[in-house]
Amino acid sequence: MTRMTRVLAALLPLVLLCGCWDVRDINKRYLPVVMGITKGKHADYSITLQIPSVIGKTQILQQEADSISKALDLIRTKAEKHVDLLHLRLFLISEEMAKSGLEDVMDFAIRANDISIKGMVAIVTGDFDKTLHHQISPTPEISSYDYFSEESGWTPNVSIVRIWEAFKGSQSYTEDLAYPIVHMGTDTLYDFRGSAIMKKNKMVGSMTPEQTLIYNIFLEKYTGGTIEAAKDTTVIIKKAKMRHHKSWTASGPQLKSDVYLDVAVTENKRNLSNRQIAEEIRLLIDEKGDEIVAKMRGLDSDFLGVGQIFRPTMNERQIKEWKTKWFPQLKFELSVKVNIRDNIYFKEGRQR
Amino acid sequence: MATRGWEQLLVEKFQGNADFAIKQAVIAGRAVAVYMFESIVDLPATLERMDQSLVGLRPDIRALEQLADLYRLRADPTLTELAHLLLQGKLVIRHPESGEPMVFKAEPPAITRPVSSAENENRIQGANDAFTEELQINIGLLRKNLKRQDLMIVKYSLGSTSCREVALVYLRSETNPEIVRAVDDRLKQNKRRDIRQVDDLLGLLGHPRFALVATYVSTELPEEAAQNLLDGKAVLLLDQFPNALAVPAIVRDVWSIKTDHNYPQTYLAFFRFIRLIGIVFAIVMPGLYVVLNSVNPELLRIQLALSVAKSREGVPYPAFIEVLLMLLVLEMVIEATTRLPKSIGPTITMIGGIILGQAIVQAKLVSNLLIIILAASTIANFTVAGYLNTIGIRIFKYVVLFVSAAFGILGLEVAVIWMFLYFAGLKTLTVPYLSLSVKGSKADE
Amino acid sequence: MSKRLLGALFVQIHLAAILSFYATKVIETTSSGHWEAIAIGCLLELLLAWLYLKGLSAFPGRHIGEIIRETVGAWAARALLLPFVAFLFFYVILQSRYQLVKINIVMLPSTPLWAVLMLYMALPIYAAVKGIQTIARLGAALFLSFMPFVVFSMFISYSNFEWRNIFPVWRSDPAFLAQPSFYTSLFAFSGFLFLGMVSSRKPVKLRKLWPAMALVTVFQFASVYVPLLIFGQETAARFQYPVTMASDTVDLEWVIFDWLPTFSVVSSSALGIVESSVRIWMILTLLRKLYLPMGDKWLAGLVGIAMFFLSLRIHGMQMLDRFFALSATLCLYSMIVLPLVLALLGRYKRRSSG
Repeated sequence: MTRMTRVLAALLPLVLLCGCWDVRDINKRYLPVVMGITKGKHADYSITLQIPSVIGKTQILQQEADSISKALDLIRTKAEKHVDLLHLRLFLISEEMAKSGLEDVMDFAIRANDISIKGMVAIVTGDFDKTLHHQISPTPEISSYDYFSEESGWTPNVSIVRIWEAFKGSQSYTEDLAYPIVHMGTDTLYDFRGSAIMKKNKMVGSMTPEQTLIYNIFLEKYTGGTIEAAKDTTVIIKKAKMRHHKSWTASGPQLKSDVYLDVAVTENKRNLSNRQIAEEIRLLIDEKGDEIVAKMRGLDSDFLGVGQIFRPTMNERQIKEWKTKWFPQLKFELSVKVNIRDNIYFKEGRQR
Repeated sequence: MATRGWEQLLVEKFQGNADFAIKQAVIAGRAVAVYMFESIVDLPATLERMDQSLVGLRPDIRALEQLADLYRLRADPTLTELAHLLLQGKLVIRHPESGEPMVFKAEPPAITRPVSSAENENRIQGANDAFTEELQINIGLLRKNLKRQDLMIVKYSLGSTSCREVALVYLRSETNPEIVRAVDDRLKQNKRRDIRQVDDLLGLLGHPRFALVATYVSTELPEEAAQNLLDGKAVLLLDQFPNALAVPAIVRDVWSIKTDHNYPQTYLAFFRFIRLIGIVFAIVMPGLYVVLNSVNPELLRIQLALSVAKSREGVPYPAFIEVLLMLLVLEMVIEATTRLPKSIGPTITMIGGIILGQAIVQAKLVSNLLIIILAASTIANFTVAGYLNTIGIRIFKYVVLFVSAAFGILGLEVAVIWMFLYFAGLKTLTVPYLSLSVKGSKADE
Repeated sequence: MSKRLLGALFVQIHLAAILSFYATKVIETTSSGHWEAIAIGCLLELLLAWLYLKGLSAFPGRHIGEIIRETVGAWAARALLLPFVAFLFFYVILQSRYQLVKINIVMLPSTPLWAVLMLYMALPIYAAVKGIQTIARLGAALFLSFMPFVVFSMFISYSNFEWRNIFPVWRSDPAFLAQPSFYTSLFAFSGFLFLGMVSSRKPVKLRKLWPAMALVTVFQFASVYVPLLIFGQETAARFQYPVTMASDTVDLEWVIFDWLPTFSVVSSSALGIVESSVRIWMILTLLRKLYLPMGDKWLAGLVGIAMFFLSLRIHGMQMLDRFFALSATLCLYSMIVLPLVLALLGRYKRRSSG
């Protein structure tokens, strides 16, 4: 016998003997896609898992316990099949939970080996249980995930936060985050209700959808959304660009940010001239921007990530002190420059 | 040799053979005794041809000797050699004066088939004539294909109880001299070993007995053999075997067919790319199915995972057993169709494909997806160049399947690495299997 | 062995280390100016490799075991090379153990370690018995088939890069030199030592290796900076496997497969197998030459069993880290003393032969 056959002969019993520790057929697993986390009635946590099936129905498993993993364990005990968390893509967290801090949730999600850190996080306002049990027919098999998926149902008004981003936000010296807030929908699964402003791990305030839009513009994530500039005038944003002018004086950091918007007019019932429209948009965004800045100040949360912008100019000690010392001293101005793209069919500014 | 001794010994040796004949014939005006096997020598035709070449000569003993010069193969043979020559279809004539045996080449009766087009290897672009069973014709076909001065042909007669002629063909300026020396040495050393099948010949050449891949390239097309020669391989032709064996095979032969060069370069690259993909598919697919189904379903996108789960709903046994069962059925279909008469082949295809395939899914014995996967992998299997290589891949797929059933994607990876390792360790006739060219010493994949 | 094979092997040996523990150690070492730590390592390796090859070129067709034995005697060679063999031995254990944990977490959560370890160790030992030529060909095959995965898994997450996380770039005080994890990160630079074992007839020139070295340097920087750019220093420092984590941050529809860290683990463990094969082969060669004149298969069996059980003795990540720190001295010894000794011997040989 050659050496090869000997090795083969040695490998074969190994394979046969080794049994199969990880072998469990796919039709004997539950593959939940959504995990809902809220405060339980009798225990610290109430965990809900949404398990889609191809037929279009969603199965829901729920359990309360004092820790997340204990709750999952209880769910596993009562489930007919093995519960596999590998495909979890969306974490819905109740507002109540978010306000009291998400440290342990983040910790669990990162620590668990079988949860992908690219799952998304959203905060549910209103009746949590109802939202999670909400089903509409006909439901595509994984619609709750599709709602956030950039390839399918996502629109630029909605902010996306993935687990790793959330974790990074809670760890970072120089930025905070805003999570999306959803509410049970009427004709679809969810309604978007703006964003939750986080400070470290706690939800400290919220933004309206309009403010979220400006927030997304600021983070240069925004393209293709529409805004109502004024009564009877709507524009679509083709391109948004930011330019930051930063300086660091004795009084602390100063930031002047210019927003450059490329917009196209989609509705113009009053036949305003481009200049007027531009002016109106500018005023609108200025106003919203001021609101956001005021929120940032008031809540003391750097959810715009200004610290990241200043990172190149700071030294290590300053980075560490950003949130406590420098951010409160920040002077921040936002100005908007609007460029209206040529319309293809109408000439500009001709009155009837 | 004693004057009459050899005749008596011959007669004793072949006594009882109905087709061993001693005839009296007139050659060059002299009556001589002729020894032969009637079944493989066409005596009238031979005599007629001899007469033709003697036209214009005075019929005497000188003419016979001249004839001998024309047709004689070997002077002063030993008895065993004589017997072998007779068995090869030669004519032995007793010299009318000295009594020495004279060996003449004889016309064979019409028991060899003519050069015809290839049966098993199809070429769309390329020469179509194929090797036959006759060694001499095969060598001729090669010579015709390669009109080069440095085409060397060395003949060996191997065997003690049987006699088999083997020809080693190589190009002196192309073939790695080490290969030629290795083949030549081994053939000379084992002169007395009997060669019945290709297997014996390969054993004699020191090829590994339990190789997973073919360590030689077998082809029935002279064009292909000629290209192999140009690439630096040595070609072995075996008498009564209608395929040429090019040694040693290298990994490249799995995806390259030499007649690809009859196409533009782009097409050639495309073909080879497709074949490479085919190899990967054929080896990995069944294993990957098990991996995705039962060990690492997290690799599937959720949408796909759901539909896979649905297709497996109701299948009673684990994915591994499911794949194994279906693979066995498939292997049997392949095995059954290869040797069936052409008129029955389609029946098997129908039974196997339509009836079995349909029914097995409807009975929920296996999942739809598996049928698709296995069909794809079997088709991919046959994109590989050379029939021999397809078998190696068919076997290797089971190794992958077994290991990945236990260890998931890691098992798949380890099995593939093991395959590479096995190839890396394989060395035939001084050439490592994992080299891109036989000529140089360059060795990388 | 041809230049290309040698280059491919050189790259793979380094990459295996880079993809397994290098990034973690470097990120642990310092909180800013990581490139300084990387660059110091690279320059150090360049210098030492130059010395090493310089020394080797005086003895064509010999490996270091033979060279030292012939010039200073058997016992001196045994003493000089013992730490080196020990280093290789522990290195293989640590490296495979490190990979194993990763495999266990990402791909086979409930398979016991010993089973995975057995599968994972069998191949390198089998390869080592077959010799360096076989390993080199294997390396070339794996280089072609797994390199795309390495590159893919490393740079797949580019859309999440946040360039501002690079800052602060400068760091003037070299405080990281005092960190023990800096020295463990030097493990990743010990790959050049295998050049002394291939005993090629023609001396290997450093000049010929520069494409391989450049590639390695690119990956050294990438493996540290990819997680840094994505997570930022504060977050990345908390991860045990930052590179693997980084590849989990993207969700790409066009990739058929979903769980992208698998690619990272698959490719790095494949490289790990090549690396372990080479190192085990080095151990076998030196052991046979200097300490235990035994048949290759028996020796391989012994070494394999010893590694298998020692590796199972390591219970957790903390113990692994302690082990790393301990064998750092062996590593430094092998990386610094061996090239110096060889350079001196080479000089002496050239002098004496005129």
